[in-house]
Amino acid sequence: MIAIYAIAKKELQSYFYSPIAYVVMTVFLIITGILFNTTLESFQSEFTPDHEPMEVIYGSSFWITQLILIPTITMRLFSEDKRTGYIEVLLSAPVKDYEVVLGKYFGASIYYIILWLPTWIYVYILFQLTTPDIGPILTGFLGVILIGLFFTSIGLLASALTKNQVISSVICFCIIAIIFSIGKLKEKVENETLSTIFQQVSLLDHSLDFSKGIIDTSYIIYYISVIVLSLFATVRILESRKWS
Amino acid sequence: MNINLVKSIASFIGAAGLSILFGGILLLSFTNAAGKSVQLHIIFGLILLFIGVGFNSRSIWHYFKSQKGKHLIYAILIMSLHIYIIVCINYISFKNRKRIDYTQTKKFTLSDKTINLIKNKLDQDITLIMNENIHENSLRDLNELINQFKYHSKYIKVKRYHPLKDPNNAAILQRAYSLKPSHLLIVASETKGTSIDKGPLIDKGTKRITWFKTEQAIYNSLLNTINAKRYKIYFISGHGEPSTTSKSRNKPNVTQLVNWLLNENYSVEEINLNKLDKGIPKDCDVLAIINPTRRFQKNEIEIVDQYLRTKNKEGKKGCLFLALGSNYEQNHKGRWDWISTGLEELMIEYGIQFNANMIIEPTLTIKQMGMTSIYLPSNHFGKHPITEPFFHNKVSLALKGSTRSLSPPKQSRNTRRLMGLITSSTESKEIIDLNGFTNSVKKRRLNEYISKIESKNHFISIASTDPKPNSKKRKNLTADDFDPNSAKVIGIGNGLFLNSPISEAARDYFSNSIKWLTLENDLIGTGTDISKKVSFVIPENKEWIYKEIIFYLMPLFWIFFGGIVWWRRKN
Repeated sequence: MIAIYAIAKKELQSYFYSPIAYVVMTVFLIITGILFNTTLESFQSEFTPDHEPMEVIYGSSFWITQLILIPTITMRLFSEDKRTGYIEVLLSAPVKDYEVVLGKYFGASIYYIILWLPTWIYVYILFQLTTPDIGPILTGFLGVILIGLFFTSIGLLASALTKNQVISSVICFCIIAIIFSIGKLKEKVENETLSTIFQQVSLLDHSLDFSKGIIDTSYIIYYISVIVLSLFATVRILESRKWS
Repeated sequence: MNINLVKSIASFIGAAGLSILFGGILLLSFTNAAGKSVQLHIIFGLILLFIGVGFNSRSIWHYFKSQKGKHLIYAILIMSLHIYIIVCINYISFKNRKRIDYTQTKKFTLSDKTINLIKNKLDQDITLIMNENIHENSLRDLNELINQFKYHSKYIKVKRYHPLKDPNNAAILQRAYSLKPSHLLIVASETKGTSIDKGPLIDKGTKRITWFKTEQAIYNSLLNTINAKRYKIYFISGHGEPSTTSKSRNKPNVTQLVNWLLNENYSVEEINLNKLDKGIPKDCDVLAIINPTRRFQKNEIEIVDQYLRTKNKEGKKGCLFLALGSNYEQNHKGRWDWISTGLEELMIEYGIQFNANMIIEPTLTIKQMGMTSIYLPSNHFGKHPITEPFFHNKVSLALKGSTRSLSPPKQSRNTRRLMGLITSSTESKEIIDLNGFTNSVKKRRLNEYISKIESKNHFISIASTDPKPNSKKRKNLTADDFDPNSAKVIGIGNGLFLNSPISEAARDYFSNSIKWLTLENDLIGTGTDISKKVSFVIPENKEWIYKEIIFYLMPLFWIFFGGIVWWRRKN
């Protein structure tokens, strides 16, 4: 446990010691700022939208931020260590492989959560202007965090696959894009079971549900199970260096 | 030939075979039918794969015999086991999932009545066939609603079609269910299908479906499809009532209303009281008298009275929907007098008084923005304790034409009768019980109600029923305090708005009234309150502050913070 904490802390520190963390945060806040400003303007117009105000940031446009954020956050987790050779030092230290994986995962996840915390300033501004339904805002934020943790685990796996950060981020980007867009296939398939599977796997529908104020227990189980699977696969990949 | 080159080519063929095999499996999954093309893909893919493996069998064998190969097999097995466990867990969680609605108004939750029907009363597969040729907003809402239905029952299946994108499929469905472009959904069992029109369900402005109305429409169609009880409504004729079958524009008719009732799983028949030997038929669930223009004879009034007092096979007394027309004649003083139909006196027995002194003058109308007529009540209307609250609110007792008000008689014989107010429009869907025994309570309740509605067309009527026999409560009775088997009457001052063409709001009003009479109370507003749209104006003096925060302060904070970290590390 101490090892996991130490690795997570080191990982988090390394985010904040590198300029990329601040660049990511600034770009992220500019994008969400533009989205929020558009939302404010649309709710002032004659034909106000029917959805909740935070649905744009936490729901319908959420995938945009995820596609940029997650690969940037996770690409360097193992790739950088592999490239510099630091991974050998780390793995020869008296820590277990799974502790290294969990430590890095928690570090990246905490950074991701910190990234989203300032969006509560938007919620505060919203409450200054009107009295929105707090339920969808809270569930929307929960969805943002859960889906973020889900993708972070996939990004970590992608990072463990290669020592090239660019390839790692491209793999991660592709997986996120596929998982977000797979729901579109449900309209194409005739097989209803397959259509249900696509709908269940598609995170675009999930994020919309969360931002509308709906929590589906099966989504949460799905996230947790995929996170566990990804982390387990990452541990096996790290172990594979001992095979030859 | 170089053996390595052959092996490389074989590897390439094997990889190609694997891709073709994968493609075949995908095709099989997507098209749901093992056609010739799919079979060819699979067979050809397998042959190529075997060729690839065959030529490289020795290398593959050696690899898997090595330490690395053994680890790989072990890792693949372990991963497969994990994936299997995770798939099982997800399958179980999907089958037992709970969807929790955290919105204030529970706007994504089906009503208990609907849940009860689809959970407990469905015992056959029902397919909801969705027309996807609708606006994106409506489609998203409809999907959400259908998912709710699916979530509660394994018997609910969904099929989709798009007449433009998939004309072949649409043509097949068209033949099977007489599809029309106006249909939003078909609720179909193996033997029967009921269509739902999109017109009344999709808001023309926002292009979104009205959740509770669509839920109600699906509910009714489900009932129709699974052959649940069909309520029978008899329309009285012979006193100048509008025809239930005529489509003539020149003659008053209620054809649209009747067609709508048929679509909603009601059965409808027209009867003439003079031609009845044994009174109103025993299977009558609701007797509808709409806009008569001639007086009822004494024996006819007795038949109606008898119907209301006698219990039917189910132990339930009669239900009457009475809308009086607009019958006035000028007297010798030049004033307009109401021509009585004879039913007015009978209605006093049930606590409903058609009061000619509270006429809303049709001449006193003004046009609002050139669009909507507002009826200005004459002064004495405003002074009546029940109707006074309407005076300052743009609510009239009927949509069109001259109209009268209703009031409880000052000295009702049975003071325990409920005086109810039923209202309906596209936005209001509730029965307000006006059961206060003092005028001040009635007034307060009306005021509360009026504060909730806006200046839109609302329909008002007085409804009457009895409290439960053992009820000792005399004040503040709720819907549960009333005897469901007692006679129920709804009286409308002027029913001209029920004539074809009927407006959407008038149809909603009629629908809610009929559902109240047939004890389908739960269907009145099956959905939740429609959430108030969020709308605001940013004060000018604050707008720049918000923009500064959003665009400058928040992003620059991190740059500033990063600068400090960099400077501290440098030193």
